[in-house]
Amino acid sequence: MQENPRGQLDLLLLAVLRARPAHGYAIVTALIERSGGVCDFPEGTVYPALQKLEREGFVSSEWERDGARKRRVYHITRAGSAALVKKSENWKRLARGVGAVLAWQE
Amino acid sequence: MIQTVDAYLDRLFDVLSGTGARGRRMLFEAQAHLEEAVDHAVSSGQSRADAERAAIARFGTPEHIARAHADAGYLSHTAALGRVFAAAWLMTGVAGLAIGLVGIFNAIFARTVGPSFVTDDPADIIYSAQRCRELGIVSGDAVACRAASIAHHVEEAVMRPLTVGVIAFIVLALFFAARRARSLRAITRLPNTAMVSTAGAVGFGGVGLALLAYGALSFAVGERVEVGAHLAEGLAGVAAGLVFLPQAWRHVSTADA
Repeated sequence: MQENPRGQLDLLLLAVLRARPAHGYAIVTALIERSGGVCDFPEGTVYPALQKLEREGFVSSEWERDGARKRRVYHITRAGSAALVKKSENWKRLARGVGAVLAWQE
Repeated sequence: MIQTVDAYLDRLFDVLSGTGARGRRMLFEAQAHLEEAVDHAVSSGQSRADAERAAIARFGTPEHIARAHADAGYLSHTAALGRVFAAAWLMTGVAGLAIGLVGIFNAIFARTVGPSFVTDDPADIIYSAQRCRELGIVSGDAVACRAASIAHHVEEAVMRPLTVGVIAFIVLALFFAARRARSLRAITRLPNTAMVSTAGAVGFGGVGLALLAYGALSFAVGERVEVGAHLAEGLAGVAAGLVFLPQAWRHVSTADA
């Protein structure tokens, strides 16, 4: 069981990409904004995680040019969407379980 | 601490060297990310120098990024070689300990069953007067010479493996001590515990079982000479395999979990 948001990075990245394709900086910005700052980890670690998701077939990517800047834009794949559903269910079940135990302690 | 994006990228390039196209892509994405973060901060009124320092701090140290890159499955050639070295170091130590065990088993067999059970001279050997003198039998009595010769071989069959075992013990002690040192992590981190433990269990255990079976078969058909050496080697191999078996089994039985 992972104790911090970093341990759920795959799930978070897929969740951000479900909304729309995005490049790394936009993904990081969305993660920080949507989590209210809870997802605070070294931003550069997002890229190895994205490459791993791509190798597993959960995301695809391509270079895009935005003015003078060239960036790699990531898209969630069909397999990634299915993985997101599964990972979300697992996470919600875990969160419910932990919540129940904490409520019982109180 | 690294102060500028350029210096950061230089360092990242160094720590990612040998990671091929994936590393190059990581470097390119890091550059795009940092430049965008700096531009964003500058457009919000921050000085470029402060913006670069803040962007670098948020991005993570180059070493941290390289570790994350490696954990995602992209090792540099140097890191991969380091892991092979670690596995070889561990395996050499365990193999040496197994050889040491051979010496112990040989000693036990020689004492309990008899020296010739472990090693012997060919039946048709002729002991010269000089050889007898070398073995300490001045009288030249052939029976006494033969007994002295076998005792000499048994000593070799016990002491040589034991010496290797003691050296292997030191090698293994150094390995586990080195694993505690962060600075030596590059050469003490095993490539994959599942792979190493399975290879150890199957490799040592398999060879041990084969030698044990050979020794047992020889014993079953009535051989009583030098059978103990095969049994000792087999038992040592099986013992070494058993060291790896619990972890190997844990991985194998949960491989699809």
